[in-house]
Amino acid sequence: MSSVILRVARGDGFADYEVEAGALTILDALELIRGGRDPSLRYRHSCHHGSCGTCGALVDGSERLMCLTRLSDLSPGPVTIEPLRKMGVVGDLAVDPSPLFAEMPEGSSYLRASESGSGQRLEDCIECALCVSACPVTRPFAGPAALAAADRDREERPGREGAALAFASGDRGVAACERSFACSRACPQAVQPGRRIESLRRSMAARKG
Amino acid sequence: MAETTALPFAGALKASRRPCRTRDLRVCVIGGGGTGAALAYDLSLRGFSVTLLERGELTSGTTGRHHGQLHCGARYSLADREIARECMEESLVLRSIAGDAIEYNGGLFVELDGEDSGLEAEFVDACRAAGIPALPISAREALAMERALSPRILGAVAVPDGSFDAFRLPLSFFAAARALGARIRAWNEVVALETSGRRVTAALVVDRSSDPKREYRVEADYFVGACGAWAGGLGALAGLDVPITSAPGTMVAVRARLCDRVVSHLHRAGDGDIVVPQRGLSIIGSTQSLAASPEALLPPSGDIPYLISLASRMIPSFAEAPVHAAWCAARPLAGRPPRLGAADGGRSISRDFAALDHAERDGLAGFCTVIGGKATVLRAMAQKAADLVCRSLGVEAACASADYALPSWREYYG
Ligand SMILES: Cc1cc2nc3c(=O)[nH]c(=O)nc-3n(C[C@H](O)[C@H](O)[C@H](O)COP(=O)(O)OP(=O)(O)OC[C@H]3O[C@@H](n4cnc5c(N)ncnc54)[C@H](O)[C@@H]3O)c2cc1C
Ligand code: SF4
Ligand code: FES
Repeated sequence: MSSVILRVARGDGFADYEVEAGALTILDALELIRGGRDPSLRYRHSCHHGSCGTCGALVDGSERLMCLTRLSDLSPGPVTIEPLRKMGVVGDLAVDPSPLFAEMPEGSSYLRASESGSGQRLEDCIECALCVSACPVTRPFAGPAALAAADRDREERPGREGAALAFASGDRGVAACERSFACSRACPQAVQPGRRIESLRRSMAARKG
Repeated sequence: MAETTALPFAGALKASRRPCRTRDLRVCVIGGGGTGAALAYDLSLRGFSVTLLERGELTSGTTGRHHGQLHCGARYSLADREIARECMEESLVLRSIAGDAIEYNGGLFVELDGEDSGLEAEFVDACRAAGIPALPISAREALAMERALSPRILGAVAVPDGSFDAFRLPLSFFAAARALGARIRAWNEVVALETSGRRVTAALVVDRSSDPKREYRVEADYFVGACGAWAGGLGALAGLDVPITSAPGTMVAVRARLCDRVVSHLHRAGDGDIVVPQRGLSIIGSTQSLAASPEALLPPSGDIPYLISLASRMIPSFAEAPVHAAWCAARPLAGRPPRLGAADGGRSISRDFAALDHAERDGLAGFCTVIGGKATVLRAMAQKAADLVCRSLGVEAACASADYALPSWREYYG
């Protein structure tokens, strides 16, 4: 692999780092940088395998999970890495994801039937906020992740259908969506929030009759 | 499942439960992994005034990166009955207080050859002696339960394992602790410990949660180190030699949910003997080696094909699924191996946990270290450490952390 230069948001500007051997992913590379040259570099990470949803960032302007973005898939660089949009600020690449969680529908569950039909499993959405960062809507809006959760509630939990549709038709609901589908393209888990928003629209229309 | 009630987070709970003797006592927890999370919650329930300091994002140490197995204890039944029993008890407690972060589908220990089958009776007895309901089943029954299993398995034992979200479960503890008034401070690193008259009295902290960084002191009546594999570094800040061994392990996730149950190899111990399903992934783990430092661990490239080949002995299609990720985490083993580089990778060190009282061990009061253990027993580790805090400060306050359903992790950030 030819060496990759990462241009990482650092303080008010950027810092360039050459990636050391041994790193497979962007997150691996940051771990080596923080473990050596720059111990105070800030980025969020936890699971290292695309399941916690903490390591989102803009990689050359597109939303990605850093733990799943392989260095071998990047141009030799410099590859620009910046924090997600629309989140609260901590510093460097680290964000405060409160804006995502503040919009989540109250009491929305996180377990569902597994593929086999006989077990249970956690939902696909890992609450990474990539979709929220990618969404072009600037009006007050619950956003794609929260609306996708509402649509899952509608579909999987019959008792919650009314609450889910009320959420979708509320002030911050589906009306603000501009149908850009940037959310679905950004989602690392194939949740297809754009399609979920369309599905809420259809259910709302069906209810009106 | 044990009966739990919703935690009445309104100040009412604090007012009613808070024993007046703990009210003005300040405890500082250092380390924001699962252990620190459960401890901040336990101490808050007991009425202490709690501050938790974590140098990075919460659960950015070993906690977020583990294999995700909710251990019923069967894996440890042959080696240590007490650890096995504790896992069984704690897995049920976690299920009753944080069920939303757990895929509770059970587990199968599969027999790959005659030697494994020879171990079955001893294994089942050991499980049952530890209170784990283990049930031997035929290969046919096992294959009917999990169709991706190798048709060559000779038999299996069903046990109540599960998988859990390594990030969300501890986050529910953080949410609960904060709702009870604990100050949870991510991006706050302890860089020095101040002592006065053989007692730790304050921590010097660098706060990087906003720019520019600032430094401040946290004074407290007691300090608990919950730094996992980093315990040695924290102890050194107080001039102590904390016996901790960092034992990294590699895991590999493939993009396919090949089973609902945790699938383990029925043998005594070894590499790559557990496949844990989670969401749309199946994860094989792990290896075990020894490292001088838990910092910046990356998986050695040879581990990936090695682990996949071990997984495919139990589940052949594991080898065909696309590799999703490979990563490493550092086990915080309580103790020291005979030498670094020991051939068994530190496997001779127990998986038990300990709350080390530095007053008793080192003559330094106001400070203890909680190390070792498993993520599954995080609540029990916290209970033991909080009991030591109470004893050291001469107060009585009972543990209540098994009694209430925890709030959703979403409330931590929401
Ligand atoms: C390969 C592997 C697989 C595993 N699989 C499982 C499993 O399937 N099931 C299970 O139950 N357990 C499993 N475990 C065990 C489990 O992961 C650990 O026991 C548990 O996560 C340890 O949590 P902790 O909170 O004690 O430590 P950590 O999560 O490491 O937390 C310590 C924290 O302290 C912070 N810190 C360090 N120094 C400072 C400082 N100076 N100031 C502030 N903060 C500081 C660190 O940043 C870190 O976040 C596994 C472990 C490994 C290695
Ligand atoms: S819908 Fe997809 S992109 Fe949005 S938070 Fe969930 S997993 Fe992330
Ligand atoms: S570190 Fe968990 S999703 Fe990347």
